[in-house]
Amino acid sequence: MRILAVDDDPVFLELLAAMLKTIGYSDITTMMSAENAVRELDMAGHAYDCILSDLQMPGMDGVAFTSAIRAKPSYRQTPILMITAMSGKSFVDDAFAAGATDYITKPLDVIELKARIGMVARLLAERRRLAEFARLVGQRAAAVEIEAEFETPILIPGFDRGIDYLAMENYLLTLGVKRMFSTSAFGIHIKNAGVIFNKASGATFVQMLGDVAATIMDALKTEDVLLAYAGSGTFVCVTEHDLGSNPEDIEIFMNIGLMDFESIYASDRLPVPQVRVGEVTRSSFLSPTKPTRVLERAIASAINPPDKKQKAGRLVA
Amino acid sequence: MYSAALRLQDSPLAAAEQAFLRLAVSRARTLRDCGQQIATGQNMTEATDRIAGIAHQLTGTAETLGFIEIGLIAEELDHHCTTTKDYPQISRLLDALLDQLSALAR
Repeated sequence: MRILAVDDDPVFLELLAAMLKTIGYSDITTMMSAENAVRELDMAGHAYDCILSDLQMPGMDGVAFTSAIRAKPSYRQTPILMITAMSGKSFVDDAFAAGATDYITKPLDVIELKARIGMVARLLAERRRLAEFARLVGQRAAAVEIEAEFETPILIPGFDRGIDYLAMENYLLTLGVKRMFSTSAFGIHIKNAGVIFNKASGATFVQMLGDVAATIMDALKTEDVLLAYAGSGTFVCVTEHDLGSNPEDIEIFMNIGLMDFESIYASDRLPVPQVRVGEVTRSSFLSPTKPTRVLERAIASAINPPDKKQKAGRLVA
Repeated sequence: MYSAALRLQDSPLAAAEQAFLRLAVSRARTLRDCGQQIATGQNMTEATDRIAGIAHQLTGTAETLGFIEIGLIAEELDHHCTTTKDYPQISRLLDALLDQLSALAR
């Protein structure tokens, strides 16, 4: 990700650049004034993927800078993150009104910075996915429909965080015993996938799967998750990390997130996808089975949830 | 405070810390000049704005670099310069901030 950072304090720019490097972002250009940054946007031979700007600067402040950025056609959608002291949060509304995407507070906290930049990275990935999808659909729209069979596991085009279901099975088979028992899986079933499949074209159905996949990744607090589409409207996730939330909360978060797409689906006369998140499943030391059984149990739990009264923690495969 | 700075020597934030220490001298000089202007009643608005600007910058970086006390004083000073214009408070906080910045140079 190519980042342009703007602040009138050279110490803060050093600090920001150092923190960004520690979380994996090293392509950073720094500017000490918004005026210089505007010139940089005009003169640079490349586009920046993300702009971080101080809100309160002498001369052109962050709000005016945001307006100047948004006036440039090639930067209408570029994520702009305002950086402001807690005392300056009252100015953030103006920045949002001018077109800012989000804000970060000073003093910088590396966890907050990572979360916010991670959000930008996901947003950019989603836009790339949609652009790739538009390209694919454009290529095929003339005569060739994207063939998507309802039961078939497919790799979501342009969604680089997902893997093939077969690859996920292979991944589990390569895990040693110890890692296998520390790995958990859970399924996410699109309850109305069948309805959408019957009403939509293949391309639209696959695009819907992409929307759901992106929403899943947004809803999970850990990024160390493998995600695959297993067919029949069901995704499965595998992780060695704590999810940070229980399945019920993830389900609520996802269904709220999917409502953001409501107008898009309405224009296609399709229902918004609604998901159910199954129980987290693990392998058992006491009754070892083949590693891929965990996936089957995770999927089954998402499609046919066990009676909640009988639930007692995690399912064991 | 100084031990916090020493701990940063091998950290990814070392360059930022060096920049902070380098600028501390010139910032202290500017703050002292502005303080004198306020004490003598000259260019008070301009002097207060300059103090607020420096205090605001210190607030944004000091705590992250381990200079907790500087960050806390600077935040309060910024508040009084931009909101209350309470000059006795501003002078008191300015003195405290100058003491802290002077200690960095030693």
